[in-house]
Amino acid sequence: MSVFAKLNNHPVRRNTIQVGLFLISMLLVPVIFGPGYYLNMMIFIAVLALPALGLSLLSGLAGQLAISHGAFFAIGAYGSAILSTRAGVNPVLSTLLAQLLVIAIAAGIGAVVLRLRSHYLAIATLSFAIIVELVIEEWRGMTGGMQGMLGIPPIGLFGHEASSDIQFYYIYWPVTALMLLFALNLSSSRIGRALRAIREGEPVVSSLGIHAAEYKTGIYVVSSVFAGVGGALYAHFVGFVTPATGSIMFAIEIIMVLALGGFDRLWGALVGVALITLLNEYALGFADYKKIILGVTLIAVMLVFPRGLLPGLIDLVRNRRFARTA
Amino acid sequence: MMLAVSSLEKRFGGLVALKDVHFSVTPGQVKAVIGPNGAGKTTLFNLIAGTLKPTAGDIRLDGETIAGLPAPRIGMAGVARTFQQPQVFASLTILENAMLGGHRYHRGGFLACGLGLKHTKREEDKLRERAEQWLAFAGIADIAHRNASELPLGQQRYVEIARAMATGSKLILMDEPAAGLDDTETRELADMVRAISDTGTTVLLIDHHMDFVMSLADEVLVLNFGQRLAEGTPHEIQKSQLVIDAYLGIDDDA
Amino acid sequence: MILVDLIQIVMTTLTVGSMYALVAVGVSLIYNATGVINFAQGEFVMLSGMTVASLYGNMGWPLPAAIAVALAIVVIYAAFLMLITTAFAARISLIGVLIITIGASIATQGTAARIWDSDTHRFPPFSGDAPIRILDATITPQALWIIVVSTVCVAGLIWFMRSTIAGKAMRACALDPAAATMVGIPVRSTILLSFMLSGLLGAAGGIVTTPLTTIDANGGMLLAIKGFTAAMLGGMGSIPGALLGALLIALVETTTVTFASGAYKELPTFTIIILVLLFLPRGLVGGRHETGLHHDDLTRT
Repeated sequence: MSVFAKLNNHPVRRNTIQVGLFLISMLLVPVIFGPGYYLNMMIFIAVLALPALGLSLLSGLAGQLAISHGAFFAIGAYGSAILSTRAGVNPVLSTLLAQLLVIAIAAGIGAVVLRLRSHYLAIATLSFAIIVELVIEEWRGMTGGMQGMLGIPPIGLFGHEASSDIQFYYIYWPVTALMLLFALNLSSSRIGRALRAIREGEPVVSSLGIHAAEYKTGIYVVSSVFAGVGGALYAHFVGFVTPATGSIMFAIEIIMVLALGGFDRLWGALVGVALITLLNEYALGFADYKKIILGVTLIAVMLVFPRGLLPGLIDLVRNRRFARTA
Repeated sequence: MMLAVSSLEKRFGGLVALKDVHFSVTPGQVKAVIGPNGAGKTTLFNLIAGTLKPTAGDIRLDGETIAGLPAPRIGMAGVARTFQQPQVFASLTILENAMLGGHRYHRGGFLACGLGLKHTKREEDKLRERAEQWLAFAGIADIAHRNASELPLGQQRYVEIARAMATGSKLILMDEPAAGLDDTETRELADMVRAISDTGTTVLLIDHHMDFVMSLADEVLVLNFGQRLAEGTPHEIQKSQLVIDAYLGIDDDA
Repeated sequence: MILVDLIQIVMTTLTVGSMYALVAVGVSLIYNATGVINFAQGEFVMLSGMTVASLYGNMGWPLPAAIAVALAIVVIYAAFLMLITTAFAARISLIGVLIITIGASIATQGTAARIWDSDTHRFPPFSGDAPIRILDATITPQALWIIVVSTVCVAGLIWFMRSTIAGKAMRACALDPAAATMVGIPVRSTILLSFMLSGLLGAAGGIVTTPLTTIDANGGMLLAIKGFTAAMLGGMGSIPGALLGALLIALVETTTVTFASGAYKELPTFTIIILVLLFLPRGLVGGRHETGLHHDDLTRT
């Protein structure tokens, strides 16, 4: 049996090797190219990849599109910010503690909202997102209201606070890589299989003795934690949070990430995040232009490549190749 | 009794789909439910499997009441089902479909699977072995890695069968398994049902192919207009004037 | 004292409710025709309000001309929306169409912000500012315009759906597109009509409300969401239901603002939406489609 065939029966091993190679290449990049502004962008990519991966898990496995990931990004960001600035908790610890809040809320929302069909789910999660935005804006005492919060301590390891881009880079990319590995493992496990089946036919799955609701809630919580961790890491990198953090526009940008990278490709989500970050940096300009480009691109991509730009292009290339050899 | 149904009734608002239905199935038996279209056969299956709740009456599986329980609970109690339109999961391979049958016996929650802990691998291997066994039983082991959506109807049925057997259920409900099959395929299916029965699993099936039904069934239940019309051996049923009248002659095609 | 407050609450509820009703009824119309919830619904209101504000309010055009242009713009926009949501309908999932309408909504917001700007706009009320007194409570004339115009529009729509051939065709398509096609009803044109009527309703709303509530390029989304809430509360797809839902939501908002803090006025509305989805999936009046996941009938009996 070839190496690849053997690896197919060991998805965890295969995933670990893939992610391992990927991480090593990412870690070598600053070594090869030296310090520079690009490092700043790449840290953003590492951070934004997390909510994107979370949504990819939800939409790819469970076939659901929720618009709550922005809200959980905000909850993670604000939660960790409040704990670390007002209670003096160590940023790593506050990041983790904030996830407890994320889990509690996501479990509650998920349990009730996931029975709904696609657009009702979207509306319900959108409403939830609006409530979260409102609470953040109005609860001035806790969140700083429209001004947001400043002076959030940077992430640190072993007592040293990260103080340069390179340091953040070497802390954040391993975290993202590990979470990517978790997502890949989940996807290729019995849980991923059950979720894909649930997506296709929930009544049939029930007859197999599988409690669909529990699985859907589970993946929703996982997906929300991904967003929450991303939010916390974001807060400890840029040092401030505002109501614009994890706003609905942010949530739509993440949907855009998946529209580009593919709705059910985890690696595609990384590609999508890289593209969006580059676009944000060089092409999108002011908020208004950004909205126009974002909106038009979403429409165009969904019309032409309903499964996402990247998978659509890959299919196109594959088919052409077959056509030539056939 | 493997399955005991008594005074079963299902109303949809003013429409009475089933009324005062009672029958039983002994362990290891192959029992057929026949009746004209609209007689309530699929509704009966839906009630047993938990897709619908009865408005009155009782259903007992191996002595335990299952009437009104949610479908996953009934599935876990030991009832499996195949459907008139084969409900295979098109986005999964055949092997994966079969692995879903045994899913609930194996451990591994979200954290364990995400972290890729060792025991999840062992469980997966066990699951795969079990699934492969049942694929072999159903005669489709050679196409295990194809996508379920690529198969013709007849073979999709066998995927359903493998998956149902992998659940280790005591009772299998088969809803019109011979629908859409030609004579040869129907004969092969009959062999398959016999093989299933030989494993000790109890089979309750609905079908319109009379040759198929009569050659397989130990007993036959006839429903008409949602009520029990007759119950007996195939021979008795074929001779029963009541049944003949209800059908206006029993045909051997669907 | 209490009576005055009560009258005030009633009038505000009617005014705000009329606005929401126009959006909600529009949402239900499109839902009936296509099974899709149109996220860009609020943009109909925004576009018409902004157009009249700049043509009549800024550039001095006569009001009727400004209104005519605004209506025309919105109708064309609605037709465009119909095209992008129904093109390639077979290939695109419901979620895909959802994303398309979200994309349309934000693209429109951005475009409006470029054409005009991001500030709030308004134009003078139709018949002046002088408040009318009803038993010590005051109400501005524009509020009466809003209530009257909305009532006329919704009543007109209901009449249209019941009494004209085109309206009946719309209902037929909503119930069973396949059967409608067989009877010779042009389904695509009927869907187009639904979109355009929906747009007109929203546009009417924008035109009458902007003098009172102002409008800005980004105001559409919030309105749209309130429209969905109202439509769902009354039963998605039911026009009387949408009306009822809109009034109820307006009532909740108004009482919240009157008795509690104005800052949190949106909170009850969005809590309602979640509660409705959970406990009242069919809405109060009961719409055409069921929300929620139910076991499909897997086979015939």
